[in-house]
Amino acid sequence: MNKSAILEMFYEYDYVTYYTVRLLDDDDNPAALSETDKFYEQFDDPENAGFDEFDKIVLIIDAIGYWHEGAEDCLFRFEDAAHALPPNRGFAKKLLGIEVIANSELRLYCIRLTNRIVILLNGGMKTCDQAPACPNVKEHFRFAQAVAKSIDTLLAERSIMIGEGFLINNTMEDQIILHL
Amino acid sequence: MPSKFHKKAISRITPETRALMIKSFEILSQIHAILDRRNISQKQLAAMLDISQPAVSKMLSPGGNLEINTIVKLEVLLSETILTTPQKNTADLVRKGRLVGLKECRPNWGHMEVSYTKSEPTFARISVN
Repeated sequence: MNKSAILEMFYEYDYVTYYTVRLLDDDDNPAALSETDKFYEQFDDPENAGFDEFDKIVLIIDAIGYWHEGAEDCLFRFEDAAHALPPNRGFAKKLLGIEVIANSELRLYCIRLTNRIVILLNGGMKTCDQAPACPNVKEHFRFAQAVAKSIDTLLAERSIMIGEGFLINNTMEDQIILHL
Repeated sequence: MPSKFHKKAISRITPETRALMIKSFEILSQIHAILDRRNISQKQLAAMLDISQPAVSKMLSPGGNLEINTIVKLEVLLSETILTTPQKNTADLVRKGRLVGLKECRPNWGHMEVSYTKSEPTFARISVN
């Protein structure tokens, strides 16, 4: 992929800190919007077909943040090395009781590191069973895998460490840089 | 800096919707944890409550009309506590002698008045204003 990105805070709740990534261009200038802001900009529009599903994903992100158990893994879909929201159909219907989510094809890719730390990325409307084959989400799916791999590398070399609800930057840089 | 996009999106969530989501999340998680631990299916629960399985499914969903009398019925049927209240929790802890010395620890706890009975030194009567 050969890109770089900054890992930055997206939103901090009582029980969960959400991070996101912001791509850097060839001259290391950060993009105007983070990956998750791009997702919000696209779908936070009542004219968009995915608006209702987007609203429910936001409600789940918000509720997880205020729930004392935080980002339980059962609240996320497993997408190879990454994760996605909303939770799977069975859970959405069984526990959350949100029909619009149970039938949702909207995916927000993310990486749930712990119950207290989640990295939100980008997503889209999934049009076929396999994310790598879907023209709408395959880029986001691959990007999520690349971010997950980069995070794993940084954790393994102890360049970043997991604190209680936040990531500790042990690199020599002011910000946590991901090499994708 | 917090995302202004997220701020805008969550501004549509009313306090009631958020509170309902979180509260029902807590209650339903508690019920499902009990059902999982006791290995009770929704079908079995429907039989215990003498209602249909779809009604149980609806009941065990946020906003699914899980009323206080239903929660109490579940508590009695399952012999488990689903809802707890802080006042009862505190009183129970005091009664079990786990909060002895509270008076010494928090002498200026403004909203709570603690007094000890002389006959039972481990028992405290607490009144919350």
